[in-house]
Amino acid sequence: MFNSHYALMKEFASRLSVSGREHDFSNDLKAWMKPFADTVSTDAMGNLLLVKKTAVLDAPRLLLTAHMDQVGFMVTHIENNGYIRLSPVGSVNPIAYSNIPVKFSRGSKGILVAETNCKPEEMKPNKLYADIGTISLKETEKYVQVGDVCAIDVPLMKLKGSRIAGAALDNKASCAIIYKIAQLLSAEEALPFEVGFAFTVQEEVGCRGSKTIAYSFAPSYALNFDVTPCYDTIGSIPGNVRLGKGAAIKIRDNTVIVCKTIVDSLEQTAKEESIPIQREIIASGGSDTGVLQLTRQGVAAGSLSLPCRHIHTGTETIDSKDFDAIVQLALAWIMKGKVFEFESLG
Amino acid sequence: MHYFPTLIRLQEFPCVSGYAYGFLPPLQKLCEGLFDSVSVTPAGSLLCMRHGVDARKTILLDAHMDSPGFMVSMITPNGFLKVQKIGISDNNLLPSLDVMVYGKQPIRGVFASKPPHIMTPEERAKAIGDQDLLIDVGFTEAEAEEHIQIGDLVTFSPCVTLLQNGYVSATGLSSRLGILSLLHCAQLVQHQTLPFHVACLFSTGYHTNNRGISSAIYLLNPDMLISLDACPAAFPDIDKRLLCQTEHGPVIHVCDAHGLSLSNALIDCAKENGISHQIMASPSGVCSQSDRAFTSFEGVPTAVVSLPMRNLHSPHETACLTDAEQTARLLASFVLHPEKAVIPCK
Amino acid sequence: MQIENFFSLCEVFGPAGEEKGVFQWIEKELSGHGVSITYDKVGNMHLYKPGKKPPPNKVLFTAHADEVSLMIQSADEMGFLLFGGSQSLTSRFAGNMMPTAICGKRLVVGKNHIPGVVCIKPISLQSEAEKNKPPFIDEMRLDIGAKTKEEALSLCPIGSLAIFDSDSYSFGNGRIKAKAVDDRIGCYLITEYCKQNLPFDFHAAILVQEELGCRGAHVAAYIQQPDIAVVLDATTAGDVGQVSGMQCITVQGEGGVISYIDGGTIYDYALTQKAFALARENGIKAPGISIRLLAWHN
Repeated sequence: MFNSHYALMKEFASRLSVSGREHDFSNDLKAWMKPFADTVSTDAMGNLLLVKKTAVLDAPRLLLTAHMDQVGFMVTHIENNGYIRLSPVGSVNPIAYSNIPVKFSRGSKGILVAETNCKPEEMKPNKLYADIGTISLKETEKYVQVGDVCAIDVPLMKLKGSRIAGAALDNKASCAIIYKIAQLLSAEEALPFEVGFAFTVQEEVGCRGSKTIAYSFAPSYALNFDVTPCYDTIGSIPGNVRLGKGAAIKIRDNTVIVCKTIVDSLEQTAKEESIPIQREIIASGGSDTGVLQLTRQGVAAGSLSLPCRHIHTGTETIDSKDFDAIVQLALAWIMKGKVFEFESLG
Repeated sequence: MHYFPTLIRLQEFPCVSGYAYGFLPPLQKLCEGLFDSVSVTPAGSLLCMRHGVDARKTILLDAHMDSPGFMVSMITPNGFLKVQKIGISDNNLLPSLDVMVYGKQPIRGVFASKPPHIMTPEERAKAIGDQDLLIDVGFTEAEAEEHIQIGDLVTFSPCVTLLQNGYVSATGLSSRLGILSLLHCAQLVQHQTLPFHVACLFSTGYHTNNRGISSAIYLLNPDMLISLDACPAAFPDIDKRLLCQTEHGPVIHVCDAHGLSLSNALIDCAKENGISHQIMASPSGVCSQSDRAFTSFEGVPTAVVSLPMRNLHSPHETACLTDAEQTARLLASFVLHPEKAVIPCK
Repeated sequence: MQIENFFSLCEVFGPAGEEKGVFQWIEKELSGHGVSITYDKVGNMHLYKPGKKPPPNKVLFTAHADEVSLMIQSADEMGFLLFGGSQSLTSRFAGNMMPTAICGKRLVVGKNHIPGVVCIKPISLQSEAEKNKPPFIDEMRLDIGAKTKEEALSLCPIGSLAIFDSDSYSFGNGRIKAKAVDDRIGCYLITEYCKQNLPFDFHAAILVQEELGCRGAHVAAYIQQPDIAVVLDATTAGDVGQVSGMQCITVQGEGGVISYIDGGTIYDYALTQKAFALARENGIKAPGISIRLLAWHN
């Protein structure tokens, strides 16, 4: 259906899904993912869960997760002259959001600008406002209302080599990764374990969705997919992860220290399959992985991250080679049963 | 319980949040003969059960086994290790401190610092930043990469020193003395019938996401939780309301956010049994481990009992062993007559 | 180099003002080696070993015996000891040490080697302003586990000297770590040299109180009246983390350093050139340094 990774990601990234307003993208995902699963459900918070069942009784349950929401803004006020005031949803660097094209939830396109004569040192999210070309409050309200959301509207483009840049790769690229994994797993004979594919909501505002969907699916094992910052740009602080160096195996982030046994078994699988990998440690920045780990009596949770430059801007940049590496590694790890090899998490 | 020799024996086993698995074997050995069952929870904590007459009620006693430490985040071009902190450490205490780096095998190192003569007056007037933390292992970059990788654990070199008057100074004392105190409690009631089930949990994740206690509360659905912790003791120029005193017995925290019933019961128990104790007012919370526990799953009445500890969060935490003995006596007396604690309906 | 032997010298209790432990170690090593040993009135140790013939110029080799140390100044009601290393209590430096090198470390006090731990306010109780600055010496306390002021002072009387209690070990690729390498390494080199059969008569002085401002050196030089003096000491290697190039001053692994200049002295040019020439002729690595900075080195 999607004839390349680029086409797949471009389609996913084009869907607006600001935290709390994921339902449109969720419906599209449901349609795309349906052929690969036996059951589909949406919970009270809006998390989407598709399950590939197994005939084996009391089989282990594995949950693969990716958050389907993106950062953006919510409309808080409309001025008399039609300008739109907003408040950020998720973590937003105002400098990356000044003077960019945006699209709104009811379909209008517009521009997000900084107040004129605002000095760089004064830049804060409340100095931004949107303009959709209307000249009055009444006119604006025909297209955009208080409570609507908007996000950066920069379609994906190909850079040289296998690199792709654009808005919303965080985390549409990981949703695309789960799509590919599900597609490849559906070609396998009946599996001796149950696999859940969960697209979670509201990760960007505090990993809220994953808590409920993990509790209800009650997995023993989980693998989260998200993007992770690269440290190979000009002015970056020192760090290990680089674009194009392979699948990033998460060791720790703000929410979690991943169990050594999971990290070791992912690395072992990568070695056996000659898949390029790198180790990921970040001190600030979190993910759903920590929430998964805390579910019920505890879950063996790990994470494979897609290296991504300039996260939360209109120029997020990834490398298809890393995308491939993650899909291959996750599949090999799952099919070889490595994920079920251990009990104590340490 | 021979506190000092046991602390020395436990020295060679590091236990840092996320890296606690190596500590389980020696801990299990110390538990031998004291409990009806010992198991490792899915979150990697040690759960030890003593069965009680009334099987419907469970008391959970918790002592965290993990200490703060560091994780290698990068190897610099000249062979030094950059590290990130796990848990709280005071950067001002680190320069010239001995450390152990757990690479392929344990490797000695030293926290390095920029020589003072090349610092500007502004730099000298500032505290050491987290990004300046560097460890000298005496290797070139290539040599370091052979032995060490990103994600490896770094701890303070273990050290136990006997000071005057039964005071002991040791790395990780705030967790280790709690463990020994809880084991001492188990010894005191070893041959006695217990009215309720008593679960002794040696939890991990205290310095990160509290997953040890979360997992145990899910599994046991206990009726009450008493968490052992450490409270800062005697130091000049600190508001007396924030401090306790050494040699005055365990600190019982009175905290509105935990419910008052359990702490009142502990205070009564201490008075009735002639156990020296101190009371500390802790409005709106004590520490994240117990604060979160109170609202976990079905909720659990909570109390925190602390060991008075000098030099908290430093490599040489210091306590008086008689306080640990009194703490063990308090817990033992309580579990022998817990029916006095008024427990809300289950 | 006999590393374990060197470590035993490093571990000797030898603060400025009480260096005799170091002298005892040296005397023991040199017993039976034909070295004559005398002491001057301030306590410097003077060594003389005859060689095959007298040298054309009298050369005096020196090293200092003392290590960085702190002095107990009083105790408080809780039994904690207060200490300092220089006259000013509010100075950030104390006896040539950065405050961060002292706090959180173990010390031993006095001839009975009473162990103690240096404490400051726990970080969880510090204000934002306190967290953003390094600690002052007067904010630190030495905890020996004493219960009262009287007990603390009876174990560690006012005026007792305290040194670091630091393990010695080898690590990494040919590295060692110990306290007092500055300047037990100089003492060690002189001692080892004295054990050999020497081509020329050899004069050396092991000095006291260098860390307090090169005090022993004044007296030793006056008494010995040498034509040439060669000082053996340790110097700072700044090759740490991202510090590089000129800022390092010296770098480990490149050999012994011949100094052109430091905060107290411009070294004789001809002598330094001779030293470099000797090093080259004998294939010995020896880079030079020039440093102009605060008071270090005699």
